[in-house]
Amino acid sequence: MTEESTRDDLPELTPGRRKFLQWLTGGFLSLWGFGFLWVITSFLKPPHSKSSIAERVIKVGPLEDLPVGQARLVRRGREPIWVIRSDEENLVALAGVCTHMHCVLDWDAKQRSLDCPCHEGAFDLNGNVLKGPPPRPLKRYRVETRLGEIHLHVS
Amino acid sequence: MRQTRQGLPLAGLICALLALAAAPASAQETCGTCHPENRVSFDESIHAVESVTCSDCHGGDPVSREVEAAHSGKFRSLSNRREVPEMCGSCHSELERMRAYNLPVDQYAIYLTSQHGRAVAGGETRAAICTDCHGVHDIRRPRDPSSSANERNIPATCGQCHGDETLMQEFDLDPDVVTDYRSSIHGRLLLEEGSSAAPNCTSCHGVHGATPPGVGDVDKVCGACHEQTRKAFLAGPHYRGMIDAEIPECASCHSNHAIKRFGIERVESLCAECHGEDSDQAILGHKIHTLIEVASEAVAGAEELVHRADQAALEVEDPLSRVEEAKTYLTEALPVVHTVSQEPVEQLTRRAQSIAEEVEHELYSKLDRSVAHFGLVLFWFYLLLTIAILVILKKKLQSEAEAP
Amino acid sequence: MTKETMKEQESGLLDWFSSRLNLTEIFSLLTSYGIFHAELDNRKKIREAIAEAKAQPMPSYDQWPRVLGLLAVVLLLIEIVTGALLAFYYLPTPQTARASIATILRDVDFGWFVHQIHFWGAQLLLAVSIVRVIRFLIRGVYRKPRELMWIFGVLLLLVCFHSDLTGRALQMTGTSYWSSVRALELVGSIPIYGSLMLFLLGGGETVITELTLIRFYLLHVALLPFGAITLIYLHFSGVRRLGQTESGTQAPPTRGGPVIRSHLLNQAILFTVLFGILVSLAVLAPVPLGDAADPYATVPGVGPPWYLLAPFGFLELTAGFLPTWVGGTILFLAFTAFVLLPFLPGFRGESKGWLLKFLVVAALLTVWIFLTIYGARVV
Repeated sequence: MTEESTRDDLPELTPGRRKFLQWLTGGFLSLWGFGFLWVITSFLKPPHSKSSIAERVIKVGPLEDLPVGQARLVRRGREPIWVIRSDEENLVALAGVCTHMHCVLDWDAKQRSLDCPCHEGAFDLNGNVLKGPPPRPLKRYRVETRLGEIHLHVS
Repeated sequence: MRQTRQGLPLAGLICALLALAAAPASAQETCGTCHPENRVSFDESIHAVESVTCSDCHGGDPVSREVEAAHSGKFRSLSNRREVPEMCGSCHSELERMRAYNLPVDQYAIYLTSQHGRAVAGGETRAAICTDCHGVHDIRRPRDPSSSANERNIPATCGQCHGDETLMQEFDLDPDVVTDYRSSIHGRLLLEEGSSAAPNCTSCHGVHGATPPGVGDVDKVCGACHEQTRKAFLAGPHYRGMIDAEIPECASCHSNHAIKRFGIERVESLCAECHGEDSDQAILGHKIHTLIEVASEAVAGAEELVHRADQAALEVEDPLSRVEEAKTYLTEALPVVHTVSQEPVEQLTRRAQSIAEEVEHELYSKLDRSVAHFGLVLFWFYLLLTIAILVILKKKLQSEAEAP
Repeated sequence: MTKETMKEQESGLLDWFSSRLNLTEIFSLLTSYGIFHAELDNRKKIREAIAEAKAQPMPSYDQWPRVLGLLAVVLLLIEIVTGALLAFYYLPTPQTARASIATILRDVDFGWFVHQIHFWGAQLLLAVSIVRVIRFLIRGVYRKPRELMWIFGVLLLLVCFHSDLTGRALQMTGTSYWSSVRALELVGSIPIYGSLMLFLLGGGETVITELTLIRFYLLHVALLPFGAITLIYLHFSGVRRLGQTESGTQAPPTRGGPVIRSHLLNQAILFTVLFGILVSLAVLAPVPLGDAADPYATVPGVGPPWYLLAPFGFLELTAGFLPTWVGGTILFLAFTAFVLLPFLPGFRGESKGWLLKFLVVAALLTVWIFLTIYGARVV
């Protein structure tokens, strides 16, 4: 609006260069707006997380990947869980740590038992203590197959 | 009216007969008339429940009200302590009687082989007999928590004699064993935490055949529970060496009654105690200690880092689980220390350490804020440029305002 | 396309709207929040109204210490925007609250950034509100005719405190949970008012359950922000009526056109710096997520939030010889007196001389600081 006076102030600039400078400044400042827009739209894009926010069900994987008599350790914080395919139809989910000294148990496919490597404790597929120092049976978890995928319920 | 009057004596007779039939056999015994305390105490026992009578043990005529007659015949007061075990054994060795209760019938025979049994047979009547541990009249099942033979009461029961200083001095026995046991990890587990898995006196010394385990047996007694430890011990050179030198195996390092939790840091000084300060064995002990110490520190460091990652809202379920596996290797290593060789311990500590290092490496890169800090520097560069532009625009405005 | 035709088009668009909407009235909303502070005549069209405003004398908010109100407005705006974004993911139940915040921090793009800006913006807003009330106290912005401005200022501070308090509870982490429980206990010690507040907040309980948390949530995202917006609006309305100087007889600056643009530029610089500070705090001093709250395990050493330490300290100090409800009543009366300061006998009327004023302010601050330190030590 006061073009004359500014031209007086900066006489060394040609109108073309002045315009270019104005464009540059405007573009530079408008980057802020684009920045904010970018942050907000990326924030609003829903994240593709594998589990729900209050995690109650863990997807362990397809049932066909777990042969009969085999087991898989689901790593879940301090309390990992063993998911065992006991026969063609049935799955068993048991706490993966010994009730004695909190050692992580090993699956013994031959004996069909969960063995503690630390003090020779062992548990059967019902979680009962077979031998050794464990004072309590293992906690059992609910596990089921939905559409061929193993769903482990933790609560 | 008439009918009732006639009926009365008949009803009385029936009642009396019924009462006689319903009353337990012991009710006919008149012993309680003169010995009421014994009667009351007996009534609480398992024997009273199973219809054992006074005369089954004491003989005599239990239904007689005459003092003379009642204590006649085969009466025995059982005040002679030497008679007691045999008398108890007379029923408890009888398979036909005991089968229904699923009780072993060899207890009396075993008792005769024990230190107590042999002493009594030798005329030392102060040695323990059945009633000293099981009670006299009020004998209860050992699984009854109020029984003196219950696993939690056994230390006190044994302590009646084995904690008696003057008595034990006569036999040249240590009167502190009970206090030592109470202070031990076993005693605390049993008496304070009520853990039924913890051993009491009889778990190591035997029940009726109570005898201290000798050299060569100690590892078997301890190994009954500490399987893994014994396996490692038998695999190492200590076992043969100690048997040959007649050193009691486990007890020489862990003591016998006052067994405490053993920190791995004790290993170093322990090796030097027998082998000397600068011996190869002391150096080995130092190495094993260091292996476990370093691995434990690595695992603790990883755990701390996992906590930091959790606070920064990183995914920690998997690393936390892996730290737990590393801890398992460390717990596994403690029994293996009893092989007193470096190789098997190192195998385990190396695994623990590599898990810890993996977790640390993974989390460090995720916790790394240098990208964010670099972004902040760029941000400030842009911010300062913006401010510069705004200041220039303001200056221009001011000069415009002053111009006219 | 020449510049002239572009301008024509723009003005055409402006005129198009201007003849259909009362743009002046809409634009004057900015004046209600100090962004543009010349008074506009709502009956005139926007071009005309602004041209007229330019010719009038104008107060300015862009210089220390009057900038505090403007800062509060901008920080409140930042809190509203970031808070609205966070609300897209936050789930207000005790079981899911922390997990959903963890999701924001971990899985959502720029989630940590929005969360941290929201946190640090709140802390700056609290600081600004406190400094503002202290300034009012020192400069005597409570004497006639500015009684209402004082009350609005103190109430805004109160709203900020409550927003922070409810915001803490919403995180459902160990420290935040117990901090809120302590605050609720403190509120509960005040007779009548306390039990009323407890009833409103938690149905009479001091333990945070699903039902309590949803109340906190509603307060935090709807009622309190609305209260803050209203109070700021009322405050600036007072400024427009009374002018800025405390004496009330101000000779306002009389410069026109460039002053407005210079004012806007000053604001832009100020906001840029503020934003830089916020972003730096968010990146360099991020608040940790915190451990999950367990209502059955007291986290040791957790007291009420820092701004409640003084009343907490007072109650602890008097616990030996005063029943709690008496202490609570004294606190309530003291706070009421503070809000109603302009109507107290000593503070009405004309200025009393700087020494007395200084002493009163110094005494109040000393007592507050002493009690805060005491409260922090007994926690």
